Amino acid sequence: MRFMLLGEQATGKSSLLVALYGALVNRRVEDLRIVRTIDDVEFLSRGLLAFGRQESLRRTEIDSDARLLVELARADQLVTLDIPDRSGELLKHMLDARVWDSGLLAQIRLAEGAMLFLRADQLIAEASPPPLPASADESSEPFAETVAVQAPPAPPWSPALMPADARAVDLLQSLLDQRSEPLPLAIIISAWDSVGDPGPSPRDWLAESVRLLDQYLESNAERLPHAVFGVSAQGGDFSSGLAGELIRADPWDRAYLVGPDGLRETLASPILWLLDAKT
Amino acid sequence: MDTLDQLLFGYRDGHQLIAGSRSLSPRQQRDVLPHLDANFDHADAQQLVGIGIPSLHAYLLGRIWPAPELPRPGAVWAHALLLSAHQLAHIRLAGLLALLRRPLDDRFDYYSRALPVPQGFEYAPAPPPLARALAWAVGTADGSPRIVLWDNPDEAEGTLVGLLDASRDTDRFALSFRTRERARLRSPYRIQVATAVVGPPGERRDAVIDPRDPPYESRPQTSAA
Repeated sequence: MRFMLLGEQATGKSSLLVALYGALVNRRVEDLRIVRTIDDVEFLSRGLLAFGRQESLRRTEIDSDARLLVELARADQLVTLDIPDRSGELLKHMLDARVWDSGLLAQIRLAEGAMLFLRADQLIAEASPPPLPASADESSEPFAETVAVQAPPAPPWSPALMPADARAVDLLQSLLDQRSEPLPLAIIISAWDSVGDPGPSPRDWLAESVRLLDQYLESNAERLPHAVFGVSAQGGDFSSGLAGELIRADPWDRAYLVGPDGLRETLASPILWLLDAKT
Repeated sequence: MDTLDQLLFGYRDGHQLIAGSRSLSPRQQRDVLPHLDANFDHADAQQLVGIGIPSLHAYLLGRIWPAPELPRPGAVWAHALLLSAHQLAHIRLAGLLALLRRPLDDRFDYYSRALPVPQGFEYAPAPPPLARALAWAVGTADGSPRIVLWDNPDEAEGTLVGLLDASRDTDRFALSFRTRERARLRSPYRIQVATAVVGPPGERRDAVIDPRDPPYESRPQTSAA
């Protein structure tokens, strides 16, 4: 099964792969078991070591050919899972330039499912822009000498200025132009720990916080059957420090996933959902 | 005065063009990006890359450094010179390495104007075993990619550019190389100099040359010649 990771830079694609690999190797997923690794998994092992040191993963370089390629056993069924880990900057440049990268295009045509990554803390920040500076009329010194201040010219519009919500829809529209077959889609809201606990379910959060994407998915549900998951691959924000009990936990136990309804599930839930959606 | 165009790539909400003496179309930027990005294990490492970019009608000579001072782990700086076909044929290329500079702060004026072609040229030759292996790798008749293993790939920089200098004018554009920590078996470069090789287990590794283990000439890679 070829599944594709879709997401711009720093949206948690590699982090989920690393946490998932750790969970599979350490038997934290009841329904799936690694039978053998087929490709080099050094980048995953190094990622687990970084998480163990409470360090974020290094960004994936643009010409990376890393992938999670493993044979899994699910009940009495063997499944080969092939998930390339491509740089998010490839997708960013594709959206900015309005030109498909040939490698991504080939993946999209062959993929049997995909995971679309959005980062919760980025979307929250986008929804709460900093307040505008007070205008001259609101100055606390009404008789102060008026100084003409010329605002710097706004940069010309470009796709790079679109919010993440609109860029995700733009991506999916372009994707559907390239496929006639439906594409099962697991929406991964990464950095889920930034949403707060207790918080809304991932499905409700998407509907409330990423409305354009949510509406687009609903109106294209036949071609894009989907489910929404919240993932914290690190288990928290390393820069602000982990909670006490998490510091001593192994990386695969620190990481967690919340299913569409808000219930804790295993890190393999999106994979299992994609496997079921395909069959 | 003859001048060279230059580009600086770095991390600003993604790895992208930060400054340059010329603009790039989205297609050109896409073609250049993979050659000016890297993954480093060591903060004091660097990589040298040379490759012809058809969409730019230029040969790119660049160097990449880790940027641990930037907030995103794995961010890098990359500075590249762009040589036209005329420049590639007529400039003594060995002098260009001294123009490649890592940014030290957020002032990028140096990178925003074309650079005068340096008059002098000098380079540090590689240790003899490495130099012999590089010359042999460049000279193989089949022209297929080769990986040269060496503990300190930086030592190959001068000789790689020297070999480019010594190539026939018509061959220079096609002579591509890269120094890196871990070479890949599937790569767009004719020559990679690296401390190790990564790739799927079982893939053919007869393109790998160990300069400390001559005679590499007798290995099966010459069978296509």
